[in-house]
Amino acid sequence: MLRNLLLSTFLSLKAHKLRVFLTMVGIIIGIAAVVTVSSIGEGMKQSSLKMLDSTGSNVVRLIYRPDVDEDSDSPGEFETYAFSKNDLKLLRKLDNITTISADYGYGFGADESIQVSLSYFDNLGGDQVIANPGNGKNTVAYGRDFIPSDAERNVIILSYQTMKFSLMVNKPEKLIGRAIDVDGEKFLVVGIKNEPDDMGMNMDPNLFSSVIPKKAFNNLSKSKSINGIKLKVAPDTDRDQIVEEANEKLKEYHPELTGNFEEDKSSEQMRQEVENMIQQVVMGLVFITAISLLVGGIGVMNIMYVSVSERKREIGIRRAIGAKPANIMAQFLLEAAFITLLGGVIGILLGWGISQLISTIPGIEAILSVKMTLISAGVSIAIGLIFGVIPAINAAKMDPIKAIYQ
Amino acid sequence: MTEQDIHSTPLIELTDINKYYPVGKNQLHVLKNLNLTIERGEFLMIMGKSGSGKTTLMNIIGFLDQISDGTYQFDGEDASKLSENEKSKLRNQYLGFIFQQFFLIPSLNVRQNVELPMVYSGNKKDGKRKELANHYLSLVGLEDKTHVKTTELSGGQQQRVAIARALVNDPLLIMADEPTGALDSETGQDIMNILTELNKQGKTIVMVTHDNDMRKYATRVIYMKDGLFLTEEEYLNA
Repeated sequence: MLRNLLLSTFLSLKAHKLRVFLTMVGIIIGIAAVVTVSSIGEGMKQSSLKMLDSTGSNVVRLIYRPDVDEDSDSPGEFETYAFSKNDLKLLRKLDNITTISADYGYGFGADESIQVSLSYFDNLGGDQVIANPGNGKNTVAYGRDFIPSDAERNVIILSYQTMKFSLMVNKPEKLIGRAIDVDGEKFLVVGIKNEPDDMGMNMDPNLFSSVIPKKAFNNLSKSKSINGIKLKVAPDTDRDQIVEEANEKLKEYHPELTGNFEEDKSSEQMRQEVENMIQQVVMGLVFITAISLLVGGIGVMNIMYVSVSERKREIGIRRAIGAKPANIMAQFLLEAAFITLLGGVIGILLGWGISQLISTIPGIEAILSVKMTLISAGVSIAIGLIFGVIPAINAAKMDPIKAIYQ
Repeated sequence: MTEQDIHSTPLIELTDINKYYPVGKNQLHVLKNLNLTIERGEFLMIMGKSGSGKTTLMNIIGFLDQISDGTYQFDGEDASKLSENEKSKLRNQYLGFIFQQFFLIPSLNVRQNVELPMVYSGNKKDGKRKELANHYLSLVGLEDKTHVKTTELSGGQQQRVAIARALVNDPLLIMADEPTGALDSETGQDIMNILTELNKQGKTIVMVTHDNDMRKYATRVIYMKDGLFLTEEEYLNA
């Protein structure tokens, strides 16, 4: 029965190819637009998260959480703890950890960084300073990069923002070759980094950090308290287990502590918030685009009405030889759903093509998710069923005599 | 009750039936207090000019229309008040229709048209359906046209497809509405020969026509005018 129904649907659609195609155009455009917008949106989300995620998803930030007595009368008195370099050494013994670094800051950024205070004449400011990266290469817009002999000296490459807004110097050449004060020590400015562009796309994650040689960094960091320890774990490692092992190790070494060492999830929470925000914006856009599907759906309804009134006699004949009203209804519903599903599939392919085309523009990435594809296909069928149901009911309710003799 | 009654209930028994159609605020009285019994194996011809009510009567017998009052017994069962689904089922299983304009479905080929009643009864497998369709198509001499589009057939061939379609569920009754009306006289005669042959094999046939020459094929003729039955004499003199 179903097979015959499908065959007969196919045959009657085949008899009106052009009309079926024109009806499908509305659905094709609607679905293509939805697929394009959502895959560009998905790409945007992924690349924003990647940027935010410079810590990498395989980095565990370990912090100390004091044991808080909920019934305590004095909730303000927390036990605090600053990590020591010894703690870092202790954790080297753990398995499945590739690198360990001290975190002086607040958990963002891949590299070890410290907060310092800067001054140049009367201008004071804070800055995030990182050590000269492993490959020793920095992108410098003005002045020069470090040279090997700098390793033993107090020299600094400033970020453009620091120069402009902390030290209030407008022209890079005025600062290069001068000494500035970093946490009370004199540093020679050798270079200034690029000015960030307006878009903020594709930026160097270290663009906003100033850089000093490793040795000078270590000297400065001695006086800094370590807020957390970043553990870069091997792929496919059970994070919770690593955290638990680290906690045991550290508690053994510090029996006086009542609290626990845990993973800091605050950056994860922020990541979640950003993800949600982008998701909402994309869903909003998809919703607006989906209005065009409504127009397509009305087109389907219109054509189904035409089809029903044009095939009154066929309906009457089918009723005369024993089709029940439900059979007639199923026939027209199936036709509508078939048109919109086919339109949906073509729309998905077209949308995929358009988003691939758009993603050739630098800085834009398009990702078509399986979920979105399935949803689009489902929505197409649903449009057929929803907008086809009233014409189909009309067809089913038709009086067979009037239908035959018109 | 006589012995004969026990052995055979009539196939169709219409008692005191009336049919009204609403026309604006008035009602048109189309069938006026008619009584009609049709026995199994009859070839009944209903003669009448257009507007006589003959087609309405046929539609009522064929479960396409409903009586306004009176009773309708089909095969001994009350069929006066039936739901759409029940009527569909009766038409599908017990009746075969043949129309003046053939009324095949143009998007389906010859065999698919013949298979359609079996599709709606839904109790036969694909293979069995094909086999039966082929059987009835060869019975009407169209075994070599099974995959042809119906629009490529002549009128006489189309009507034969319609006959095959009417027979395929082995109905108790065949209803034919002016089956030769759209055909030339020679082709019309072919069609009438097929129907007569079917009747000889035991099929009950009810045929509606205005053509007096058709009476020779019937086992019984009734005459209608203005919703009433007339005698032959009254009809021919009217």
